[in-house]
Amino acid sequence: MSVASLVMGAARRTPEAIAVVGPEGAITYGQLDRWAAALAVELAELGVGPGDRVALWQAKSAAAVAAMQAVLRCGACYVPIDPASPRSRARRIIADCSARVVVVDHDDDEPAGESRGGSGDPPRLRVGSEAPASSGAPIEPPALVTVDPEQLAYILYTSGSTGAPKGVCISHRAALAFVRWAHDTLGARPDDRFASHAPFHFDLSVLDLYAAFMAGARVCLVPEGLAYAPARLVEFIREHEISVWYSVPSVLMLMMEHGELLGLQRPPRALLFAGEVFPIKHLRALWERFGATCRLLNLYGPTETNVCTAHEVTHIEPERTTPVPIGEGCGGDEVWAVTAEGRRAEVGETGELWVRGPTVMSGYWGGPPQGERPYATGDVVRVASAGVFEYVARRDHMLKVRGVRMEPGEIEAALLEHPALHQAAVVVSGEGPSARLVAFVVAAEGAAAPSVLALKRHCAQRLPRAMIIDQLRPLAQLPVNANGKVDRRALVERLGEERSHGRH
Amino acid sequence: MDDTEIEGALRGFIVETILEGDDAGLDASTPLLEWGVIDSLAMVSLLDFIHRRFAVRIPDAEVLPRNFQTISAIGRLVKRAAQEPGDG
Repeated sequence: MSVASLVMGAARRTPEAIAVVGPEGAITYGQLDRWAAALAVELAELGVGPGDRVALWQAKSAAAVAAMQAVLRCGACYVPIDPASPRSRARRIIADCSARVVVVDHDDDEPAGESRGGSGDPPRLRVGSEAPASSGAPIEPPALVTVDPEQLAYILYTSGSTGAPKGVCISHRAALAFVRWAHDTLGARPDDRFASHAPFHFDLSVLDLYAAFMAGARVCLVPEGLAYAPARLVEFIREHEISVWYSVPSVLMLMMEHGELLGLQRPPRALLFAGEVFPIKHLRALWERFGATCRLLNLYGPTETNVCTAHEVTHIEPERTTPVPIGEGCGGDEVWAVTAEGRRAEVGETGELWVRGPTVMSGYWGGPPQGERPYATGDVVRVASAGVFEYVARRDHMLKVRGVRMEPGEIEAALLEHPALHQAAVVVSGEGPSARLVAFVVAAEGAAAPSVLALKRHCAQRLPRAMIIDQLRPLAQLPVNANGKVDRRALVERLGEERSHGRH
Repeated sequence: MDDTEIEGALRGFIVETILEGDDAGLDASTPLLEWGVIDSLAMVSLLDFIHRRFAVRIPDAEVLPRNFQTISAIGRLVKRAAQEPGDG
């Protein structure tokens, strides 16, 4: 079984059922199936075959969903690219995965000269926004490609500590193990309506799309522009009668505080959240209002594992002041915590969470295969009870801001491309939705530190929008610890002192 | 209230609240969303500021990226919203 078979199966069973509601309207499974088949023919003509990579550099739309299915039908793997990212970063990813073809929107305005800069630059396939007519000449499906479950279905690029984005490779086996678990846990049905809130280059979007496709349900794509209007997100739930919503907690909190989410008369039957800690005060408010009618699920898993633990919030003790657990292993995964001494943590102890099992990635693109090796998440957890974990902290410097995971090293590398900067260290100030990226910088000799706006502009040309710095603190030198490394803790403490002295 | 006054007030808010007083390089056509000056959290406080300062409520349907690209775009939006009959 391959990931591509989910849409094909639903199209056979219920061709008239709505599959995707996008900015251009709704399309049925029959239409999506034909669209994917037609695009697969075009991709094959451009030379795409089993094992190839195809970059999808498109706005979030039904056309992008059809392109994903088309790539899978060729036995190739797709690489979704953040449409809001600067072109330089997109090209870096296209080059890194050596994409055979880049799929773009028909109205894409990428300058032709730029896109054909290098000799190895792959051809572009322009895709229209309208599904092909549901009648007409039958589309000759490309020869059925049998897919080895270990073959890659997609690659998701995440922030890399050395400054270059790194590709997390997900096989058909891993994607299906996760999707099957999500589908079964939710008891997904054909009449479900999944909201797709996360952009397609985020792993959260995998659940929305494929759990819906497995059930033959519809998935409603949240337009990108709604991110700024929590009240319109709530209106989206009402208008589309969303039954399953999945997003980072920050978005749910914004919807609660500024969009009257708690005023919904018919809330979704399931609210899922992942990607960061849900502060207990806000989760409790959600549970008190909707807990009786709506399932609340806290999912956990780095992109490298899809989702590897889950906790259903059925009750929140009145005395609880810490976040709810991330739960127990799921999707067939085995999860455990490893103490600083290298042994399995017992109940009450903390350690780094390790994962082994069917949902784990095949490896990083260009790196060694993961094989049967357990994946060390870098997250420190506490064993709350046998097999149940609570999140404690990151082990390394990885940051979470605006619901996006990022390596300070990648931001710092981008900052240091600025000629007026000698050193840079990026830390986070605040928590949850109010977390802000603060850059401590040292100007190059003889240069003045650039303004915060100049550095924002500089970042915007190199990094995804969520990774643009918010605040700037020029220093004469960066503090170092006993090992001679930049003392990030001292920088965070400095920000804490600032706050207590009233500067925000 | 004229355009200059509206844009001046918006500029003042952005400089003080978001840029911590560092106004170097900020003008009416600075791309606020593209450069990450306004993200979804800053948007919430900006809308609140517009409501308090101009007694204007921006309809939810107008909270679209194209209306917040630059200070002048926000200025036009505020002016438009002020002319609409509404709850003010």
